[in-house]
Order: sequence, then structure tokens, then C-alpha cells
Amino acid sequence: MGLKINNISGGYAGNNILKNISFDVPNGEIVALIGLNGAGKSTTVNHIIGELQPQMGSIVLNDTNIVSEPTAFKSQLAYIPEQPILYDELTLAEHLHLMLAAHEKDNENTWERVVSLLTMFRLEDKLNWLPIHFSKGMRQKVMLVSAFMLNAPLLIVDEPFLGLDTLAQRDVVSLMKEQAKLGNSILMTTHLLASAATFVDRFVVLHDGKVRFVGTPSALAEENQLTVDHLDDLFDLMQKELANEG
Amino acid sequence: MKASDLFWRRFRDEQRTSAKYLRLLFNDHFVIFLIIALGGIVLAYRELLSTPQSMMFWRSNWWQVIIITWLLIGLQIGDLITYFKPADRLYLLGNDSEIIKKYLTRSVNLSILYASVWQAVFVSAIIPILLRIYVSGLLRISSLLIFAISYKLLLLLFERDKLFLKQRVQTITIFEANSTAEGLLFRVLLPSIFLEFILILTQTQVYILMSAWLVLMVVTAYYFHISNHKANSFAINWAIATQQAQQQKQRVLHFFALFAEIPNQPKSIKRRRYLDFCLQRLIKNKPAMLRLYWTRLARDTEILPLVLRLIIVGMIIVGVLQTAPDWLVAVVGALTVYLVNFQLLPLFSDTQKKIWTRLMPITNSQKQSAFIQVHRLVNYIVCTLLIVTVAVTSGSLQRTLLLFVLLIVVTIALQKSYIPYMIKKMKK
Repeated sequence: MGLKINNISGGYAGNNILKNISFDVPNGEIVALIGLNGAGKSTTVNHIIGELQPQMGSIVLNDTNIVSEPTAFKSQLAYIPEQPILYDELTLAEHLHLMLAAHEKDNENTWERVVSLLTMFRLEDKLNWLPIHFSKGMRQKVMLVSAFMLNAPLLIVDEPFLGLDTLAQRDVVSLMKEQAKLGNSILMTTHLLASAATFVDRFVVLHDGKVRFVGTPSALAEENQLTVDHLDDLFDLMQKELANEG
Repeated sequence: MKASDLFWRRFRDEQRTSAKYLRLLFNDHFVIFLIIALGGIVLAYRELLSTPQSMMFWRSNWWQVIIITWLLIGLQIGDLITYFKPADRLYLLGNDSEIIKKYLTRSVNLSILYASVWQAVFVSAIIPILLRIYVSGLLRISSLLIFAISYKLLLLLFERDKLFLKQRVQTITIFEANSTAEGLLFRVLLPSIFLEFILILTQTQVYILMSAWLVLMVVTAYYFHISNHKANSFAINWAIATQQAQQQKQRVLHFFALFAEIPNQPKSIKRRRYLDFCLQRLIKNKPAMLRLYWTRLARDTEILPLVLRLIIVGMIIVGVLQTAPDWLVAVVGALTVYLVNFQLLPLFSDTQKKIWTRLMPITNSQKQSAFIQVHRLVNYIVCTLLIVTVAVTSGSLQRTLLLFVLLIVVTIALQKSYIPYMIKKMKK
């Protein structure tokens, strides 16, 4: 169970960016989707969150198909985009209540968790603030609280460390680990391979719209004759390969 | 590219943009509303000039206050149009004398042309009143027109000089400080005094006054003229110049936004804490989408003011159409309700554009039903206001009943077929 991506092909406006992609994010695992710019990471995420429809293949989360049951699929999903997106008209508290109400979780028990998350990200005294008053980092933290408070079966995190201070980055990692322990699936995209290698269970490497590799950080390092600490060098290798292909 | 060519190129670009906005503004629905609104205004204006009660008013001194206020409003319209862009600060820097000689000269000429048209419109609008008051009002009417245009020219020249770096400005020091007092003095007090003189002096005195004013104008125009030699010693304060241009552009957009939704414009919001009390009661324990629509509407700076303005205009028209037939009042009321519903539609499309909305596990039918609930309550409020206005102003049971029946029919039709149809169309 968990998230199953089966042979999906798709892209924007008829442009086939993804070519027969398949991988799983089992329950209780943290999987990092990596690749160079333009490899198809964002397109894959957009298919999973329902922003794009695959031309072929299927996306199934705990037996729920996104195409046939989009609402049931989305009720199991929490998403943290790379760029924080908020309603300009809603305060922080209103954003959180709205998301909880949409997921039918707007009750006192959930709010206790919300308060602990707000305290963790030092937002507890900003409940009545409007997004216009938030810095970029604070906006990103609002997205984190909105997603982590749901305890959703699938958490998708697009570049989780972007715009966050070191403390917040550490908190995000511990929260993702906590979610995995609860049995939820986590799919993240990142360019910081060496950092991600310390806590992810598996890497999915995308290259030119195809899955190049699926495996543990040590297996990825071994395949490319690198050490785990120097996994960031993988991008250099991929770039050279792309130049040679060109 | 030459500085003069750059100005005309930007002018053409702005014309194209304005034409696009005008098309948005003058949509079919708004044109119908405008025709009826203009008809109502003309009817009310005619009553103002002919009824015995209004004639009593024109014989008192209050008419002077009204006319001066009206012309002062006209004088505030028409800014200096420079089309400067924030990037000019970087790309046009060092080319100041050329910009001042060529670009700004065209900018001032165009601004004067636009402003003169506005002044002519404002003076023309009060000609029937002036002809009622004075046996022969031609001298005063032409004096008012000449004064309004020439004074506006001065204001524009002062505005232009504010764009120069202060240490190089060779202008009257008092104009450098952009204070409220300065605004009150030169935009309200001085023109009021002059306008009052034109209205109350004898014809001979008005001749003398206007001759003196024209001499003063020639001297001032010479003073503000920028020769090639002068231009070389000036420099533009780019921070002020680009800020002024942005503010002018925002004011134009704001004008279009009065009655139409202008796409792709930076959206601003207002917290409106005073509405929190009502809002909390409206959304408490309600579904997520209903909470979202109401909260967004309550703090929106485009749709809500637009809807409120439509309601106010609708109420004024149904209120002043005293002598019009009952069916016309009912049609205006129905049209107001329709336009309010039409203007609320962007709330739905704009909310669906947000990824938050699309990610929420809520079905499309739930989203639609919540939106129709918002329409329903807004319609109740609008209909009540229109019916009460007609009942109070006309005192006619027949007229009120006719409006009541038509509004019920229109509201049901809108909710059952028009709004679902438009939502379906927007989704496509």
C-alpha cells in the first residue's frame, strides 16, 4: 500500500515530459525524487496532486485512484509546494481552520497538534496575521504547519528546505520522520542529496523524464562510485552525461 | 531610440491597454445599465432646473457653493502623464536633458490636452444652471472655462517641476514641499476665491479680472518654459518621477476597476475588522468553501466595493425616478440585481485559480453550491434595499409590489439557471 505510480506518461499541453514513469512510496517510507532541472520532478508532483492528468498510466494511493476518485484521493493528501501559496484575505488561523474543515478535522483534538506545530515554528503569536505581513520563510512555515497538522497518509514536500532557517530545517526533518513512523508515506523533491541521504529511505532519480534509478542512498552512491557524503556530485555526473548526449 | 519616439511608443502601448480595459468596462450589461443610469440622471437634472422647489434653491446663495465645489472636483482630475517605468531609473539615467527637452515636453502637452477635455466637460455640465441664473451668462461661462483650463495648466507645470532634483529646481520654493497645506492652498483655496469672483463680480469687473489673469498666465508660462540651456542644468529625480508615474497609472486602473474587474492587476486587500463580528456569525460551523467565499469577499478591494457601488447607484436611480412609469423602476431594480450577480462571478473563478482550493478534498458540486448560497444572501440584501428605497421614496404600493414580484422572479432565475450556467462556462 501507499502511493503507487504505474507507467505514467504526461506533461503540459500535450508535451510528453514524463515517459512511462513507475515507482512506489510505501507506507512509512520517505522517498526523495531527484534530478536536474527539467528532469520532470515538478511534472511528476503535479500529476500526483491532480493538477495534471496523465495521458496513460495510473496514480493510486491506498487503493484510491486519482482520476476516478479525486476527492477521496485528495482527502489523503497533504502538499507543501516549493513556493508558498496563501489566500491574501485569510489570516493564519483562518487558513488552518479552513484546511482542517475541508479535511473534516476541525476539532479540539487536532487543534492541540496545531498549537504544538505553531510553537515549534514560532508562529503561535501570529494567528491573526495576514499573509502580507509574513516574510517568505514565515509563509513557508505556514505551509508546513498546514500540511503536518493533517497527519495525511501521503505527504508531498517540494523542496522542503527552501527559505527555511537551520532550526526550521531540522524541525522539518524530525516531523517527516515522525510522519513516517506513523505509517504515512512521504515523497519529497530536493537538490540537497547529501543532506537528504541522512534521513530518506530511498531515492528515485529522474533523468530526461524517465526513472533512472530507485534505491537506497548507499546503493545510489555505490552505483555512481561516490560516497554518501559526496552524493551532491551526482548532479555533475548527470550534467556531463547530458552534455555528451547533446 | 529617441526620447520623443519613446514617449509616443509608450503612449500607443497605453492606448492599446486602455482600449482593452474599456472593452472590459463597457460590456453589454454595463452599457444597458449606463444608458438607464444616464436617463435617470438627465431626468433628475431636468427636475432640478424646472421644479419650483429647485428654483427657490437657485435663488439662494447655495448655488455658488455647489458650482464652485463641482469645478474644484474637475480641477483635481487629470494628472501629469509621463509613462515613466521603474526600469527607467536604470536605463534612462544619464540622458536627463534629452528626456526633459523631448520626452517631458510631450508628456506635458498630452496631459494638458486630456486635462482640458475634463475641464470642458465639467464646465459644460453646469451651463444650463448658469444660463438659468444669469440673463446673459456667456462671459462668465467662457471665463470659467478659460480659468479652469489655465489653472489646471499651472498645476500640471508645478507637478512637472516636482520631478526635478530639488537642488536644480528653479521654481517657487513653496511648491517644493508636498504638504497637505500646500494642496489645500493651491488646489482648493486659491481657485475657490477666483471662481467666486467670476461668479459674483459685474461683467466689467470680470473682463478686468480675466485680462489680469491672462497676463499673469503669460508671465508664468514664460517662467516655466524650459529652454535647451535650462534643460542641461536640470536633472530628473527618478525615484519621485517613477513613483508619480506608478501612482498615476494606479489611479487610472482604479477608475476602470470602479465598474469592471481588471485582470492581472496587483491585488490588495483590506482587513475590515469592523466586519469580523458579522463574518464570524456568517461562517461559524459552516462548510469550508462557504467560509472561504465569505471571508474573501469581506476583505476584497475589488468585488465588494464594485458591488456596493452598483447597489448604491441602483438605489439612487430607483429613488429619483419619481415621474417614471412603474415598469421602468422595476426593470432598473431587476437590472441592478442582475449586475450584482454578474460582478460577483469573479469571486468563484478567482478562488478556483488558487491551488489551495483545488487541493482541498471538496467536490465541484459542493464548491458550486456554496457559491450559490453566497449569491442567495447577497440577493436578499440587495432586493430588500431596493424595495425599501422604492417604498419610502415613492410611497406607491403598486410600484413597490411590481418591483417585489419582478425581483423574486429574477432572483430565482439567476440562482436556478444563470449562475450554474456561468459556473459551467467558467470551468471550461
